[in-house]
Amino acid sequence: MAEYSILITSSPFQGDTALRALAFVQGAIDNGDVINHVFFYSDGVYHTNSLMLNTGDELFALDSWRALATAHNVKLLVCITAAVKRGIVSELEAKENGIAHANLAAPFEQAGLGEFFTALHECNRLVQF
Amino acid sequence: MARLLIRFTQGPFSNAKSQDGLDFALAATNYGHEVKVIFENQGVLQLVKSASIKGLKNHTKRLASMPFFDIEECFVCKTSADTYDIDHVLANTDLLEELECEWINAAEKLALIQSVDHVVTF
Repeated sequence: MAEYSILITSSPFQGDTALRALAFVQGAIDNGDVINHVFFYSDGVYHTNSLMLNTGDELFALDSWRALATAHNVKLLVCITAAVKRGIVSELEAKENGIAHANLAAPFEQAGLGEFFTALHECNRLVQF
Repeated sequence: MARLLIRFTQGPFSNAKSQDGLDFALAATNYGHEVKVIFENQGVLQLVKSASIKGLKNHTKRLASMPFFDIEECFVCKTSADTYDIDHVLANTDLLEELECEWINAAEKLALIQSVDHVVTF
C-alpha cells in the first residue's frame, strides 16, 4: 500500500491537468492506497477560490475537490503565502486587512510549506500535477 | 527524510514558477529533506546574472543562497545550455562556481532522477 502526497502547482484552467489530478486521486483511493494530503501551491492555489463559477461546459474542479473531501475525508491544504498573494483570503485575513469578503473555499485548509514537508516524511510517493 | 530533485525549467522572469520553485527548495531542507536541483530547458536562463531591479526580487542573489540552506548538489543540463546558445554568457557569471554546478548530459540526468525519491518540476 502506498501513501501519497499530491502536489498541485497548476491552475484549474491549465489544460487537462485538473482532470488528471482528480482521476489519479480517485484511482489511488479505489486501489486502497492512502492520500495523506493534497497540497495546493504556486498557481495551484487558484483551485481554492470560492468566487469561481461553473460555466457548465467543462470540468468544474472545485465541486470535484469538495466531493472528494466529503466522500473520502481527503485533506486539502493550500499554501497560505501563495494564496494571499494571488487574492485568496480567509475570514481572518479579510478581517485583518479590511477586505470586504473572504473567498477561500471550504473545505480547503490553510497551511505552510512547513506542514507540507513535515507530512511528506510519512509519504512514500509524491505526485505533482 | 526524502531525497528530492527540484527541476527549474522556466525562465527567471517569465512567470512565478522560478520564484515559487526556489522557495519550495529552500523550505524543504529546513524540514529534514535532502535537495538536489537541476536547471534545464529555459531554466538555464536563471543562471544568467540578473540586474537588481527595484520591485523585483534579485533571482541571482536568491539562487546564490542555496548553499546556506544545505543545497549542495546543483546540476545544469548541457543540451539546454547548447539549445539557448548561452555557454559563453554562463562563462561570465560566477553563480555556477558559487553553486559548484555540474554539467550533465541526458544519460546522467536519468541516473540523477533514479538517485532521488521524488522529482518536483517548476
